Amino acid sequence: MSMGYRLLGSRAAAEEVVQDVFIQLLEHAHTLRQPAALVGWVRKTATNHCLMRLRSPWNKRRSGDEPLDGVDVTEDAERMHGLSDVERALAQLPEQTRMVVWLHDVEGYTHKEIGALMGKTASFSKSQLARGYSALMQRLRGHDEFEQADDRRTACPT
Amino acid sequence: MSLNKPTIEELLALRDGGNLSADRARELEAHAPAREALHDLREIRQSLRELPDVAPGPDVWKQIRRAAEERAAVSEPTRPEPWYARFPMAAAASVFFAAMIGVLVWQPFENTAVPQNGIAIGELVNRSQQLESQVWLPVSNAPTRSESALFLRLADIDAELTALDTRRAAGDTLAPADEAWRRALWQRRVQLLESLRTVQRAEQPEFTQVVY
Repeated sequence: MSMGYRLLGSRAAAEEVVQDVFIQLLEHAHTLRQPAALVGWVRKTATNHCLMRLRSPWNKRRSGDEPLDGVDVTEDAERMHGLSDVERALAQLPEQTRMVVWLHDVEGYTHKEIGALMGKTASFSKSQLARGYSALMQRLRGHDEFEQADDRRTACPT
Repeated sequence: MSLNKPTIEELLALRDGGNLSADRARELEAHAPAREALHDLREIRQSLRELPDVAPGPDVWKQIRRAAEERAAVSEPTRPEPWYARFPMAAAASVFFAAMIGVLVWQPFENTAVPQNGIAIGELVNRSQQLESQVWLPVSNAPTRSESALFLRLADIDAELTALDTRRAAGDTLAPADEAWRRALWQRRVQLLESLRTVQRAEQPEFTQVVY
């Protein structure tokens, strides 16, 4: 639920993910050979459901949510009210960036795994993580002196 | 000390043990602003990990149960309608024909035989009993939600099996369609018990700890 809420930025969407994962669990738990694999299975299934929702406009409409771009989340004043600084800063990130930051730093996925999950490369994941931390550092710590390698290449072509 | 301005990628690589030359790592670690930024990156990651859990609303569990029941209605083996109900005229003709030539159209069905497409009921019953000895009933402890959902499904199946067994015990010969239905119910019962065993084992503390 927590992961769904943080990735999708919506309680309703996160609850739908919980529901979908639970139903899958009831139907497929008997196929798991090792009980220890269940936690990993649940996490992976929940991550896939979140990704599917982020990719699919149909799923977004089903939850009754507006598309979860960073801008929309930022403007949702009611949701933002009462959130901690770090949660607010996370919610303000664009959705792909937010997803990479969360999967890498909280769920413990590697860049390679994130790239595969999102149908992109490990470099894409690294670059999104850097972009995300650039924004988080600026919002939470007021750092603006650290640039991204991409920006440096753009500014000083060699 | 002069230093090329560090990029966020370099700092993240330093924090996460990523691809960064040893010289550059030493350079960054000796640079006070870079050290401070590295400290901030670690703190932010820690804050993200310490965000409070978000619990689903109370209605979610009701929705899950409803959705599981709806799915079950679709995915459970549907009880086939007996042929005589679908073709009443043909049924009447068959009875008439049987009576005329003295041949029994309806052969007693031996339920212990192996069905054409799977395991015998006897084997499923044994498997079910084995599994029951491996799961525990939530007598003293409050059942978890997943356990509750599975027990409810099991109770529904048991009610149907009991009704069929009551008919058999009363000497009623079950039609082939009823026997097929009975076998499907036993098969589903075994699957649900396997699910329950997996869920109960997974909910033991040693399996629920998530290690990062």
